[in-house]
Amino acid sequence: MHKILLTTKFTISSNLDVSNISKVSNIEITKKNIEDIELLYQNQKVKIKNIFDIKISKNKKSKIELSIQGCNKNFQYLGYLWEKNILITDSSVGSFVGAKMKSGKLIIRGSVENYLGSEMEGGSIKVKGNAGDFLASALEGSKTGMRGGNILINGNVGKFSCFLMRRGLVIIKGNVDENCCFQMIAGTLIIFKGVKRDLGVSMKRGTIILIDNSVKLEKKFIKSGNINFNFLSLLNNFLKNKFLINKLEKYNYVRYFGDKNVNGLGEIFVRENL
Amino acid sequence: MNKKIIVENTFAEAFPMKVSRLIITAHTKKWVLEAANSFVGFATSVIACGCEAGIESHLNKNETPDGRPGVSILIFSMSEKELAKQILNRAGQCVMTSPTSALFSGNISDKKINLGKSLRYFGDGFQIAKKIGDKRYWRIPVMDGEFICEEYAYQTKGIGGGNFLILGKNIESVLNAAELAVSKINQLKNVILPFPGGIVRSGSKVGSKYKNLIASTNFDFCPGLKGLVSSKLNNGVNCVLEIVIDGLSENDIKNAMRVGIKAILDTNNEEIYSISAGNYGGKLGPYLFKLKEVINA
Repeated sequence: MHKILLTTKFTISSNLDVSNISKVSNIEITKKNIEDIELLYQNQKVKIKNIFDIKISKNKKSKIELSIQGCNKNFQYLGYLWEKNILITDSSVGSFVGAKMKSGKLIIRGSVENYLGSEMEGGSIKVKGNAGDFLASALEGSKTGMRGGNILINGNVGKFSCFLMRRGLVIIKGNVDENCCFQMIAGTLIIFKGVKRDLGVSMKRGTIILIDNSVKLEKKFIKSGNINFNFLSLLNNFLKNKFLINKLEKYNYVRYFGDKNVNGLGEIFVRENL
Repeated sequence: MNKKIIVENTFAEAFPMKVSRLIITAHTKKWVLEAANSFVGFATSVIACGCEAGIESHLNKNETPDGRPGVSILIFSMSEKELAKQILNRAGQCVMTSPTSALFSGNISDKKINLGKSLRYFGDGFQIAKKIGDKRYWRIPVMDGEFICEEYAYQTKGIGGGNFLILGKNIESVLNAAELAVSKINQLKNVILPFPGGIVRSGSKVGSKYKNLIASTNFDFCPGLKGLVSSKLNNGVNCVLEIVIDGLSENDIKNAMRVGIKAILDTNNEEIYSISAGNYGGKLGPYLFKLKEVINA
């Protein structure tokens, strides 16, 4: 297939809506077709060739690999409705990255702003740095958040992550700010480090796994024991193969159910103090 | 090749079946086998069991979805509906009931069979669905923790009824030869031997003098009826045992037959006289495995 390299011609100093870049999955890959993709820069329609230098080459991979160089926080909607192929950036990007993504892979070698993976339906996102607020959440006015796929954040995450999350897997290797998993519907979240207050408020279902045993849960979660959770072995095996993470099985966990204020059956696994 | 053991110029006749592969895991190998043996129990022949099932292979921790010891099972049936029914009943009654067990699909195809999708209702509202990768699993609360079950098993095409017969002087020599063949065939993937210990003594023919019976004893190969019927056994043969093989493809069955027969031929056992095969004159199944072709392949 093709490898496409987009390099910015100048520093992007204002909002650049790059959602139309996702069209590369559905068009014939020629220089002309790529040049004609329209973006929104400073609320003006501009052709991609006016912003990026474009290089197209062929490789032996079965998927299109699109690399973008020179991104910054003004890049909005990168990977919006993205499907099938691989999108890589070498630096940080703005908000709505991977929103409503369908399949394929996004690799962000920097940090992202708000609404990463909001309402995504499938595929995989890896972020080397941090993510802002509303990770894997519902977009404004919508009633369900992330609906499938995987997100791996190597850094920290802002507020209201996994708000109204419906399905999928989110792994956060750093710390998480307050109101995480607010009104969570289902899905799985694994947090390696600390979590600020109001974790899982009004969660109905879903699974949160806390590797850091210093996290204090609120009283609206009921302790239900430390039985043998074979599910964690299954999940650990998946994480080992997909993300090279082999940490879940090293510990024992205690399960809590909640939020009991809303008769929720969400579960929080907390690493047991040995 | 040992010329003392004759490979008869005949063929085994087999027929198409529906098959699914399942993986059972548990906390220890002992409990894997308890669950698996229960699942494949009473599954020797579609004549009265509804399905034919057996343990295909033993799996190490790194070969199973949840990193625990396991086995893979093949289950065959004549129709899609019967296969689905047998899998669901056996999963619910034999695997879910077994301590620490978990149940996964071992193959993929377009034709889905409800597994966790139906068993989940046992959780009475406390069951939890988890999509991990491309697959959905159900976590059903049970008294030792949770029963993990994949949402679907998958049906694919298979072949049932590959076979060969071992004709010999006495029960000791024939049983030893059959056990040797079984031990070799059990090392192969994609095939199972559904009968007890892999060996059948009651080979059958289609029909009976009793009109309600669909199968009856294959008197051509019963040494006790020599002289009474048109027996296919010569005077020295006092015992016949059969090995029945179900597999995923013609090649898998051919290979298993070859491995089993060659293991017997290599023994040079003078008390084994010949290798034959069961067939219905080519009228029942579309797959004909000619013994001479199989061992020379």
